[in-house]
Amino acid sequence: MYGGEFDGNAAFAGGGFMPSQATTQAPDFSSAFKNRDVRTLLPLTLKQLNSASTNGESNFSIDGVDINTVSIVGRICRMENRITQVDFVVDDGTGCADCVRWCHERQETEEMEAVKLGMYVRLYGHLKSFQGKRSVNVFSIRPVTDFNEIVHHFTECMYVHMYNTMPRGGSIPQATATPRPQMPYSTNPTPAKPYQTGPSNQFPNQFNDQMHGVRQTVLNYLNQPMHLASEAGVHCDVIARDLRIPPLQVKDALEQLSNDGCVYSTMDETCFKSTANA
Amino acid sequence: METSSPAAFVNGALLRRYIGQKVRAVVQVIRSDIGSVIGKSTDEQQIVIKGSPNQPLTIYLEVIGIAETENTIRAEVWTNFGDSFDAQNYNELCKLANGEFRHLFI
Repeated sequence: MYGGEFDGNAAFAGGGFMPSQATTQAPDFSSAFKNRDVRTLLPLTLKQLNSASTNGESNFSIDGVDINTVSIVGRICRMENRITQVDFVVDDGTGCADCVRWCHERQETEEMEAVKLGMYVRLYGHLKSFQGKRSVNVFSIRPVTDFNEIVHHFTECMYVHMYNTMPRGGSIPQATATPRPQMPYSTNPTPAKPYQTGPSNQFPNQFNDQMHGVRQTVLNYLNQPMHLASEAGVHCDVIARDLRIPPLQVKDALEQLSNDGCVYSTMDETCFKSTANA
Repeated sequence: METSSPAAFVNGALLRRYIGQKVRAVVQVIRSDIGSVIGKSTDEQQIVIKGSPNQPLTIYLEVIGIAETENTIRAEVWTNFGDSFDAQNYNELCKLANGEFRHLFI
């Protein structure tokens, strides 16, 4: 699907990160995700982590999103060095979490040596459950040196919670051809988030906000993986043709998007590419 | 895992809600006395922090401890937050963590 020609069927058929049409229409996102190998990276407060629901040994979910990798910022309040691993407890002020960092390689040992009791750390790991006891299997950890990172982390937790719990989707007429990536927040680019929020975007070509709708449609089009992957960008006439929008409107929309920093022109002033993932 | 004692993010105004409970606050250090530190909360109120830090303090300081009165915290943990820290952002975080997003924190 990364070929030259735009193939609508391929783009919407569910390859890559795009939801299948069935997913788009299904209101129950959590079950739709279960069958897919979703690799989420969720920033969580430890209160969220400890209240995540579980349906088995190591299947956790929160806000309807399966938990895979978590990102935590907190203070190390207990630490115990063992032969093959370091056991420690992180406290972020909202709760505590037991963590394990296995140290087999030299690099892992060195990374762990930089971390001391009482330090603020940022860590990434997998949430595990063993005999009903939850712990985080850490695979990356580093001391926090700029303490604004703490504020940033919690702000991100709130944002992601809001992102995953706000009502999304709804009935999108197929003809408008605006794929709405309904993936959970993850390391994959979630293009141009500000444009995806708010109920007005659900009906891009209606109401008196028509120019905004065209902008959104064009941006969604350029945010498709195949267009993000293209070096040269997409010619404005091709966009107009594929989206069945008059070329002048497309040009206006591209100019506004360009001014907003959402897209940029590539080889000349007629080919455009989204700034997402650029 | 324990969730026994969360420490609420507070600024000067929010401190009075948590008297007798565990809080965390970032202050700008004004001066250090014996047995206490006078600081300015992120919403620019004067706060007295009881206790003695075991290290020289930077301009910004985070304390975790018990809210004793509406302007006193008995500190248990002192963490230097360096000389450049965005107090305004922290102040907004305090408001969100005690407001709309409280359920993620406490």
